[in-house]
Amino acid sequence: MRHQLSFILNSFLNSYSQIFFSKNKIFGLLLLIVSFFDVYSGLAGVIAIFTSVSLSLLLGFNRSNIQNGYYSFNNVFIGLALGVSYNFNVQFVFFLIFASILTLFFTITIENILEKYLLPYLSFPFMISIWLVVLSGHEFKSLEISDRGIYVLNDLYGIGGIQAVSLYEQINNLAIPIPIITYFKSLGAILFQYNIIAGVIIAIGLLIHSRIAFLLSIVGFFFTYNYYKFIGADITHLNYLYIGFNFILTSIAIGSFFTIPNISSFFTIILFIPITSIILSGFSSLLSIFGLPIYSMPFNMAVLLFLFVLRSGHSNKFIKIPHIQLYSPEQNLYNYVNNSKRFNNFFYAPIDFPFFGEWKISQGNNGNHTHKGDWQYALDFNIVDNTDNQFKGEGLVLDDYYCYNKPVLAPIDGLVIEIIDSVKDNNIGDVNIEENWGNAVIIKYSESLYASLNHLRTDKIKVKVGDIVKKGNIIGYVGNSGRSPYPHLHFQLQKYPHIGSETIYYPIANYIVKTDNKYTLKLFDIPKENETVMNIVSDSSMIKAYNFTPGQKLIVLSTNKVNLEWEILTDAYNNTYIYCRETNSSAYFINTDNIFMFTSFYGNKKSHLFYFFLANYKILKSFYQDIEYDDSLPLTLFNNKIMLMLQDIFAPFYIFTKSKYQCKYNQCEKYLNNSKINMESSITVKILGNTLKKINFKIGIIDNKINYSYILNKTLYSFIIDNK
Amino acid sequence: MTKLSYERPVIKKVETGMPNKFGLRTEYLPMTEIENNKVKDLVKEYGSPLFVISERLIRKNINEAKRAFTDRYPKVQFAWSYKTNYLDSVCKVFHQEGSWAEVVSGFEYDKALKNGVPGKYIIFNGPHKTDEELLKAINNDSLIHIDHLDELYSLMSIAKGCNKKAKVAIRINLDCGIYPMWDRFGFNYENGQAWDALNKIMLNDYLELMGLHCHIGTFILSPMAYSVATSKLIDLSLNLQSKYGHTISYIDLGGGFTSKNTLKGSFLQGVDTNPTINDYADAITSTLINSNIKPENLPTLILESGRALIDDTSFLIGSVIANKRLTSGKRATIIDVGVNILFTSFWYDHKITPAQPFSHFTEDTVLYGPLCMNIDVIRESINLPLLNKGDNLVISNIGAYNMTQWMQFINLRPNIVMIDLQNNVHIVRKRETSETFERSEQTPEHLNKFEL
Repeated sequence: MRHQLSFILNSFLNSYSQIFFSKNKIFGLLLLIVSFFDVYSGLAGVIAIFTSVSLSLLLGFNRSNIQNGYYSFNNVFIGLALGVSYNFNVQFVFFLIFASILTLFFTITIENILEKYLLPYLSFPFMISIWLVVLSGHEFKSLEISDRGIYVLNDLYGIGGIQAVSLYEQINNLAIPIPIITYFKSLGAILFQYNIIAGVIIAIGLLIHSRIAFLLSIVGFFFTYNYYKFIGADITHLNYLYIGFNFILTSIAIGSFFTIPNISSFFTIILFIPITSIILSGFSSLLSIFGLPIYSMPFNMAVLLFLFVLRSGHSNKFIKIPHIQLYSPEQNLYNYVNNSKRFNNFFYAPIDFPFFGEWKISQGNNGNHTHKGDWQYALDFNIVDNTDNQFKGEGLVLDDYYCYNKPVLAPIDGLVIEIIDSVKDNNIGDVNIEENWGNAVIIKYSESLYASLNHLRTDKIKVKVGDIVKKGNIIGYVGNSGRSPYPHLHFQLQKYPHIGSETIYYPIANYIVKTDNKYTLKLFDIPKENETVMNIVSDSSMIKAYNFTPGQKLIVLSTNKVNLEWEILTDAYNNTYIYCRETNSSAYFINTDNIFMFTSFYGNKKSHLFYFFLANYKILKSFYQDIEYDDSLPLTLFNNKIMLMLQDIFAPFYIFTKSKYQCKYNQCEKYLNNSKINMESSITVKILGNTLKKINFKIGIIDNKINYSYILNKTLYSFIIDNK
Repeated sequence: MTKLSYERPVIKKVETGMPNKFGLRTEYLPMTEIENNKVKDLVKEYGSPLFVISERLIRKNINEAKRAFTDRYPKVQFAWSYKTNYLDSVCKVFHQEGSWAEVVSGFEYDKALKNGVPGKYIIFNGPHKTDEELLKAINNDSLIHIDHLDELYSLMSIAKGCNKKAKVAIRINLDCGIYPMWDRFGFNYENGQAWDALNKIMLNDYLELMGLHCHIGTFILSPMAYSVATSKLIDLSLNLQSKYGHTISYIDLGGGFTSKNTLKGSFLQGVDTNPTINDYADAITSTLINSNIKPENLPTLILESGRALIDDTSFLIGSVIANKRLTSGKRATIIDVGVNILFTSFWYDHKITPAQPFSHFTEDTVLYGPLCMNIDVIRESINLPLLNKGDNLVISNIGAYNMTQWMQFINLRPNIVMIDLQNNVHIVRKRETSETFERSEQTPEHLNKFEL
């Protein structure tokens, strides 16, 4: 029952807030209230939504789409537009219901047509429907054209008596500059309410929903106003017809909804306002022939043109499209900034080092010896002891060299496409320039990525051409063949399948750098010369503790005896998340061989799941003494509310607050497949270097389970996650 | 200029071997120092004979061995084989380097506990474990390597009795081409005993199968044998995986790696022909890596190498007691090191180096120990320079087994010193006194009085 009620409430409120590309309930409520400034019009809006929601439910459309108001926000327009135009009677209601059904059908049809081009349907369904209704309305004799809206004071008196009228008078008498009045009235016009109060309330709602969208509405509108003045266009369009809302909506849509708000998106709206004005004037003239108002035609046209052109071009550096639409410019922006920082490199193939243990980069990219020109992105490795010697004894024979005869592994899954194994190993100090590359194996990962391993040991290559190798298989042994005066391993990634092809700049997926017994985690980075590096060897206890597979139930054992249950689920896009039914919260994660990472959180930020999310935001599934790493959170997730409001306004241009995750590994008792690991993590909110807010977590892996605890409001919370 | 030492004149038969530009001279150097401590000073301070252990060499060996394996395999664990040398100081150096303890008796088990090794890091091997010892091992979560069915059965009942899961592995013997095949320890692979025992363990509620253990022999000169043994253990682990879905945590390949010693009767010097730890590491790890075990299920590789890590870290200093000429005309030198404290002289031709400068003339000599026993022969034939009474000799590569298998016989056992990383000398086992023995002896009252 509660569920049904919230479904109905959500689908109603979202139908209103969707007008401004929002899902904010407060904003929706404010818009609903504004629409009832004209009671009949407001009522017509509700009837239109009701018709659309119930019909789309009957027709079996996606419930979440209905709840989001996708199929009913056009009906709000049709309801309000008809509500103000006609007198409310039985015939009108009848007419309204069918007009709503027509709008819904148009919505579905246009949605399906435009979907192929990845374009939104905006308020096209409303426009087509309203034009048809207006043109056909003349025929329906029982419908009476309303004179409400013309006699504003009468209407007000009807709603609020003499007080309302005097308030209206007072406001009108205020010496507000015309552009500001026009701005508010234009906002009101979106809901067919041509008065300041409606505009002010909508503006407040917009501000609650998004500071960025509000800023854009102002920037867009006032630029338009001045542009009209400058170009000498018919400013009455703005002043009396309040058609200026087209520019406001266009600015919000282009500047913050369909793109990530940034300085370029602000420039784009400035570019698009003149274009929108041409569309406006042109279509106005055209439509006036039929006696049709233009409504939101310019906005629809401008946005569609913009998106179509943007999507047709290849990547551009300036305008960014949000990957996941969160219906909030701020969230879109913060998530985008954060995700590009965290996941920009995740499209790279997961390349590992081709060896076990700790090796030193004896020659890095652009090295002094041979890594030049076409081969600048190659890496040479060897092994040194703690006195930095690469050999024991006198180093006169191959066996003295630590790296000689050590196994060479496939750095990635792939197909062996070429091998050479007959070049003799050189004596120490000799080089074989004839057969420069020595014994080699080339592994194909994709049509444009090949891994080449060179100077391998004679006659000890373990694979054949045509073999499929898995990452980590032994393919040969380090030797001293080709242009190699002393044993070392040459490793390069190349675009073409030939031995000695030019190298490409390509990062190693994840690895550890060791300097003076201090370990550093690197993700998708290029190792540098003289660094001591190693592959990450995952700890089996951590693998087990963070093994979350869809369909699994997590029992969360709490010290205060109230146990929780979470589920691991997968969404339609194959993203996995932990779901807490009780609080309706989801924490999305990715789980690679070596790293567990949360990607996003939706839902109740007071839930235990949220704190689990914060504590385990990024976990390296391996132990290295005192290793420390950090990461950043989207600013909306964990922040100081007031500071964040301030940040929102400046966010498209400059981000000065930071929400930082840190994790440190303290102690490990290694034991076969059951290590006991202690670490601590924290989230810190910083503004210009000053800490505003901080929370610390203690994490332990005990008996292959995650234990974590934190202190919140002087209460200690501690949990054990049982994922058996 | 130091005074040249006197050497008796000697008549030697010319034996023309391969000519070389140095003629028939011996070109090796005396060993006057061990880890920067003069042999003469050590003898003066601590007496002769004297066992000398180098901490630096132990650490070097274990680190080289670790490196040999970890550069080839991600999960490697060494366990110090107590029986090879269970001097507390030696064990603790290994524990400091991260080695667990591998023990084969209750005595060694207690020693490991006393050395501060937590129970779960002790591997309990051996054919004889008493019920009390097994109970203690279960309660300490130690890894119990079952040797025979009788032990398996008693373990089952003991574990059930104390209602605690015992962490176990079985020792497996198998044919990997090595002669003699050590089939007296553990369960046989080829005839199915091992698989049978594993099934019994898997079906028991009080045993948790942690790993598989095998120890193919000692002083194995062929690394390939380890590869065969490894593949047979992998086979069992894959069968366990497919039948029970059980992933074992470790594979323990025991030890048996050679040191640099030369076995008696071998033609070439051990230092030149014995495989290196790298060869063994390669044979074992490449078999594991390229097996059908899924990468995430790869077991920890446990190694119980003893001799290969300790043999060349220790030296035995002895002194010449007398020289003799045997009836055959062969020279004999008697030294104060007997087979009772140099047990391994039965197996190896140890490297023996004089500790003072000598000329390049040598004579084929037989080295006798000081015991009044005919078997007390340290080397039947060795070319040594001419030594005088009181001269010192350094016997190398004696770290394994001598300090555990030595006997008190006729004489009392000597000091053992360890030279630390700063070349300071520490006594790690004091020379025995007659009190050492009298303490344990009891004489019935009526035997105390006698007249002669």
